[in-house]
Amino acid sequence: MTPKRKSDRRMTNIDFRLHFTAETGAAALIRIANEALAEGARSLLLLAADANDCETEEIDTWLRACPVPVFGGVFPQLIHDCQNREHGFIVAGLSETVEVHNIPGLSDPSSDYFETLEPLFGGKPEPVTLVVLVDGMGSGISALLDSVFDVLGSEPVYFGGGAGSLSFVQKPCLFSNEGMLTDYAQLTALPLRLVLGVEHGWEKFAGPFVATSGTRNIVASLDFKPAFDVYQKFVEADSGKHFTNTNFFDIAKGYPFGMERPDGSIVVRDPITRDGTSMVCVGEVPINSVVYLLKGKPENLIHAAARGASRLPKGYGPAIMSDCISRVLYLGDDFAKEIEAIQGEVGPRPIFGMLTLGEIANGGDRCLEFYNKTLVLAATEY
Amino acid sequence: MVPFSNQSLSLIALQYELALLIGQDLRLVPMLKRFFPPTLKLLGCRAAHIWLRDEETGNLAHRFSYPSHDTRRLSEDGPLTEAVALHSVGPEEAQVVHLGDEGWAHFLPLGERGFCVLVRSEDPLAPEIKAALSPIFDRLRTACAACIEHEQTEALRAQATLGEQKLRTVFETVGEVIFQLDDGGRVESLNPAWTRITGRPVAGSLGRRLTDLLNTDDDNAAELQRQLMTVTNENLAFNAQVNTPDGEIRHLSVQLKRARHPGGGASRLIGTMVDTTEQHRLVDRLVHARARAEEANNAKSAFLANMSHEIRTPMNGVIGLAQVALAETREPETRNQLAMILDSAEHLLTVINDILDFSRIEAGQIAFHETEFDLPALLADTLAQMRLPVEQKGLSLSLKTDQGLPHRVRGDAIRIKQVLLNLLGNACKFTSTGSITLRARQVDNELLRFEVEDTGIGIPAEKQLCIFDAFAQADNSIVRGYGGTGLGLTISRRLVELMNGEIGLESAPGAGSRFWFTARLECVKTPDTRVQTTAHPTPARRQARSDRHARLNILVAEDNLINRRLMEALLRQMGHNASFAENGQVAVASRSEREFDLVLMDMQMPVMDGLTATRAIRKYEALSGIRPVPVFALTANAMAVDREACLAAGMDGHLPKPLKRSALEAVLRDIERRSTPTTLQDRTDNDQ
Repeated sequence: MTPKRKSDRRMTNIDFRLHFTAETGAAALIRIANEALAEGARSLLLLAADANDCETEEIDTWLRACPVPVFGGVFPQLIHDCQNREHGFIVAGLSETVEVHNIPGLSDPSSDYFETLEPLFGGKPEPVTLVVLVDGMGSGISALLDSVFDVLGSEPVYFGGGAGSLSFVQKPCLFSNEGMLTDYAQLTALPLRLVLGVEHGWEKFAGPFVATSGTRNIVASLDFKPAFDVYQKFVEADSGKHFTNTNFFDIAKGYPFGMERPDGSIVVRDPITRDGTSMVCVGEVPINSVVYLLKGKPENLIHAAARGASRLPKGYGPAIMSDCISRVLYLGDDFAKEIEAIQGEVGPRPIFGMLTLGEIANGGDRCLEFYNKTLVLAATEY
Repeated sequence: MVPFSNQSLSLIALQYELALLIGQDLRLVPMLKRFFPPTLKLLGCRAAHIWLRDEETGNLAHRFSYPSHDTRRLSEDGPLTEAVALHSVGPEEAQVVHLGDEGWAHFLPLGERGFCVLVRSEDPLAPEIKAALSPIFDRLRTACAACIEHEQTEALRAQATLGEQKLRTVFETVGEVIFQLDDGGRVESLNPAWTRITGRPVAGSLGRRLTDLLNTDDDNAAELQRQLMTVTNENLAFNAQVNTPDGEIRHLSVQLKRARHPGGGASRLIGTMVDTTEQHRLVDRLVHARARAEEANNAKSAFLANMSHEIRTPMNGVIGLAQVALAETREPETRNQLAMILDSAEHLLTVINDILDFSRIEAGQIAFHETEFDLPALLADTLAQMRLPVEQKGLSLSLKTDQGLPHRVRGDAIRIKQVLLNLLGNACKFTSTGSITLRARQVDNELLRFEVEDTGIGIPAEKQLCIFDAFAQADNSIVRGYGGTGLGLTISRRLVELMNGEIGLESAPGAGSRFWFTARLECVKTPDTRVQTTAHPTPARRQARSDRHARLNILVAEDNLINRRLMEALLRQMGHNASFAENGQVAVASRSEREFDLVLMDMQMPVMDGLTATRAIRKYEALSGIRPVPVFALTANAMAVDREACLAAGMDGHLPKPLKRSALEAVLRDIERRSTPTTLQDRTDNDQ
């Protein structure tokens, strides 16, 4: 992706001071957050691993009393110090005050996000960068992103991903000054330009199929046949594995859907569960859209990650990863190679981030998309 | 750009997917908002814009952008604006326009209606893809046209609904009754105002004849029904009444006219009814209030008349008896004391007269009686009346009239004289040395100006402003030093104003005062209407008659014993014979028994009042064919209306109580002059 030229107005360099703890209790989060505040942080980015115990009243109380804006979420895993972490907290103390908007009703079909967002952003200068975090289990993510793009256009750099748990049970997953939020989207305006690198490495192996019925993130039928029946037929044939009542994701993590664009790019949709013969994806699969079945090879994925990282400028500021958790699950131990490949490309930049349920990235050259199984890297220009 | 792996299939898949995105809403913008986000994602574009031609003007106008954010920035987007201009000039040549750093603009026609622009940041769309989009955007054109038509229809429907709602709201909430009658005069529709005003339900009134709903007797109902049947598009208006279920009567003002059906159908009568009940009640209240006010006014008049009578009666006794006693007493100390009683009584009388006059003026009870009179004589009489008090103060008094002063004029001589006497009295009161001059001249045809000039103490300028106000003398100390009610100038001003004149003054402290007033008096032309300027006129009549005295037989009808004694003493002093009757009936009897030279008749007496008695005397004289005896009222009923009543009853004149000796003398002299010699004696023989 070639970033569109941006104006320099209202931009500043933001100092990210990272704090990490492998501890899992609320006290540990509060401790490192207070350390960041003590260092003079004017905003806090909080990232928590899903395996932590974050649903505590103690954290809610602390969040509501926090004197600076808070944003962030709970993700299946974190990335810190070149490792994916199943436990622990990352707190980034930002040297600037950010503007955070929490948008409720992410799964409410009657929500009119445009009506909600227009008063918040309409008529004002667009944010330089908009960090978009969503409840990954919300069903209206694409509709929200369409409205965000409708209101703000292609001017900002968009970066973010889906928070939540690999249990695929919706629960509080976004940190805010209102406490922990469920079924929300969180939009944070940063006065800092980020440069993006986006890649996935998945390739078509079956299709095309037409998603002939379904709603939002549920594909009910492909080519007028039950979606799972079609999927099962091709995946079992390729993988040599058989779906049971309990191993759907173990197999499906290696065989996502892909929606091909005329330029050959593919937007990935990750099937995470099935409901009878319908398949539930992370992200919307529009009805009547043409989809393919994809599969990956570990080396292709790692190579793609390195390609994405190579698009970032050389510098010393942090590189933030929003990488799909299913890549970790698919690559297994090889995921360390993916991080190494990225680190090899970004040089001395410290890498931190989250492993997500869907990724969000847009450098201004196209509409805002919700990706799956994709690596999104964002780095400062310095 | 990497081509589709299976070009044909992918193009068809693209067309299929895009085609199914079209027309998912009947409204233009929601339809486009459902079409473009997935379309842009599929095509890797970042924005879409639509320009459509206005059906009325034919001009292209921007109608839509996704993201709508770009609509706000459209005017700042130079490259895109230039591309649109380029396409407008040469659509065939400018189908894909490079926007520089901003990417590429792809123009896709929407038939004759306009075009769509897709903006892509990187490479332009492949020609085959753009070609594949052509049928999609043709379909989009149809969808846009359908949406626009639908929205126009909906707008018209909404407008019509709104109009109907507005009319319905007016119909249901307006305060007036709105109704419609069929050709037979039956009520077809009626708004809720009917129930609010009459308390009668609308439902129970529909289908009934209008004439049955209103309070009309059979004849009126038939006439109204006839009028309803013949009413044209001219308004028919009438007042009506309706009984409410509670038995209350509501007054209605009804207007209706014939409304022709636009399609040529049967015509209807449409009308309104306005509730005028409150107006009727208001009028009733006003009539009632006016009657009460008139009653109160009459009571006030009666009170004033009674007050006047009750005060004057005893005052007549006091003054008259004091005068009698003074005439009969030669002892200096007693004479001095009697003179002081007289002065005090006269002063009290003036005060009472002022207050009563003022009250009458304030109550609007004062009446003016215009008669033709001799103006120079009036001035001379007035001056003569003032001569004694003026000369007693050692002042000189003069009258100056100009050559053009009319001789005979028409107006209220009494009121003119009253004002003049007031001004002259003030001049006398406030002047200790020097002179007082009365001037009169004609200003224009009917406007006369009178001036009273003195050499008295004068009035400071700041006091002149309020000197004509009630109870406001120039200085309160004046009341104490000079006496008076302070009402004299106020009464004068009101009288002058009531005679359409003005009053004013010129004065300075120590330099005297000149009070003036104007009055409109109609000049009566006579062969010789001019008088010579005179000074110190001497009443000729008085001098001519001074040596001519006769003893008159006078009947005094008076119920008050003190006043009878007073009249007896007074007439005796004047050398006349007095007989008395204690009521009117006795007076009539006396008159029928013998001849008198004069009857002085009180008005209020027991048994028979003075007016009745006079009428009886006149009747007796007429029947008997004898010469009418002069009858003068001698009464405390001193108001003008009383005087008129006396004259109407057949009296010859009116002497108000307290009786002024000079007034009585004037009457007696006149009687002496007119009386026949048989009843006259040379009074010098009998005079003391």
